[in-house]
Amino acid sequence: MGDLDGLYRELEGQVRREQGPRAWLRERSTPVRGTIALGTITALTVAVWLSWARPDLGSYPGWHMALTLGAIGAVLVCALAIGLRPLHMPEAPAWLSRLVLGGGLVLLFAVYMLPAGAHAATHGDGLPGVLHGAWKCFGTGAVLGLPVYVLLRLLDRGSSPYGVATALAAGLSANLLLQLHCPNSAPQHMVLGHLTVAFVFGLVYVAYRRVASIYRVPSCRLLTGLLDGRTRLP
Amino acid sequence: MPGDSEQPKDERSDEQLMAAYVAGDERAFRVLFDRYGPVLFRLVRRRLRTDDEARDIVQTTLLHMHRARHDFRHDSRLRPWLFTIALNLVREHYRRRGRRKEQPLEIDGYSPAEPTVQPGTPIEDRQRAERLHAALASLPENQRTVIELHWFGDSPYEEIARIVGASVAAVRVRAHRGYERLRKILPENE
Repeated sequence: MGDLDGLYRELEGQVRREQGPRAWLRERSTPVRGTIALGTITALTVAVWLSWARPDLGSYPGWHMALTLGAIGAVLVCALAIGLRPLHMPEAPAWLSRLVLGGGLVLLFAVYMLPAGAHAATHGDGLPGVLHGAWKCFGTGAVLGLPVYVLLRLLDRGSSPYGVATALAAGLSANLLLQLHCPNSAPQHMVLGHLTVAFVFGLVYVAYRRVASIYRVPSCRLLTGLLDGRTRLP
Repeated sequence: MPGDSEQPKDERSDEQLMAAYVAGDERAFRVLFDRYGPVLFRLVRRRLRTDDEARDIVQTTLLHMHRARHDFRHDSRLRPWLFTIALNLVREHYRRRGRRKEQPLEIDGYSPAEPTVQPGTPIEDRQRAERLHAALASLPENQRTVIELHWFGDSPYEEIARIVGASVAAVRVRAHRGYERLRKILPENE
């Protein structure tokens, strides 16, 4: 094995550098990490509901709101469970994670396509209007999802094969918040403006990982390496 | 120094050491490193191309042990816990490096730095190790993992079942099929 003492010194140095809020967060037990993630998302949801809620909340069909929030919540919990799965547990089969996450997104697509009874869409007649409204919601969703993604990355212990689930969870949190904030319930708006946030978060993550794999550097070092010129194509 | 005969041997079990480490005893981490560093290195080295890659995985495994120490349940065993982390890290290592299939760099399936072959080993033993390594590399991934843990790691089937996340019966079947296949590939006297 070679220099065991040298290896221990490196490891000891790494362990000593594990300081600060990030180290504290990722060293919590998995149930605690899950509670922190869910607690933060719930707190954000309550904050949006109390201070930034959609103006039609009183007249919106209750069954549709419950169905939509329930579906988003269920897929979100699955994504969090996959994303925060610790490495000391045997790796879940790749097909199972894909089935749960892919199936969850298809379920959400189906729920979003379901008309909210007689409740009319309040914005965006015609394609330009739909796209304009969708773009605004996508931007808002991306901004709302980003802090959740940062938190989930801080809770991540590294080397996880399920990073895409974390990215999807952040995008789904944004969907939860948008559902409570945005009064436009037209199916095309829901899909283009809300659901795409989760898709784009997932796609950006996969693309970033792919680029990191081409450069053969850990994804956490890709950006800094490219910026300071140390990361080059092999 | 690791393996220094002047240092008194720590008689505590792995699980007691882990509990001590979680409670803040930093020396326990060193003892666990001395116990598991070489074992983990041998486990992962069979699946990686170079000693450096294997050292990186061992280091990351023990760093994960540190990060996940509050997840360790004291009624569970440390050895399968660590082995699971190490094997998951090996899989992730290959995923991150261009999704190549796990295999040694050399064409014949034998790596010169293969830890099971010591320098100065008689040629016949060395050739036997090369054939064994090639035979193992030809097994399906799930059979290979079970055989390596059972044969080289001396892990009982119950422990292997926990490491690979399968039932004990499934592990026995994989081991049986793997050993059968090895018997067919390898000559009688090996």
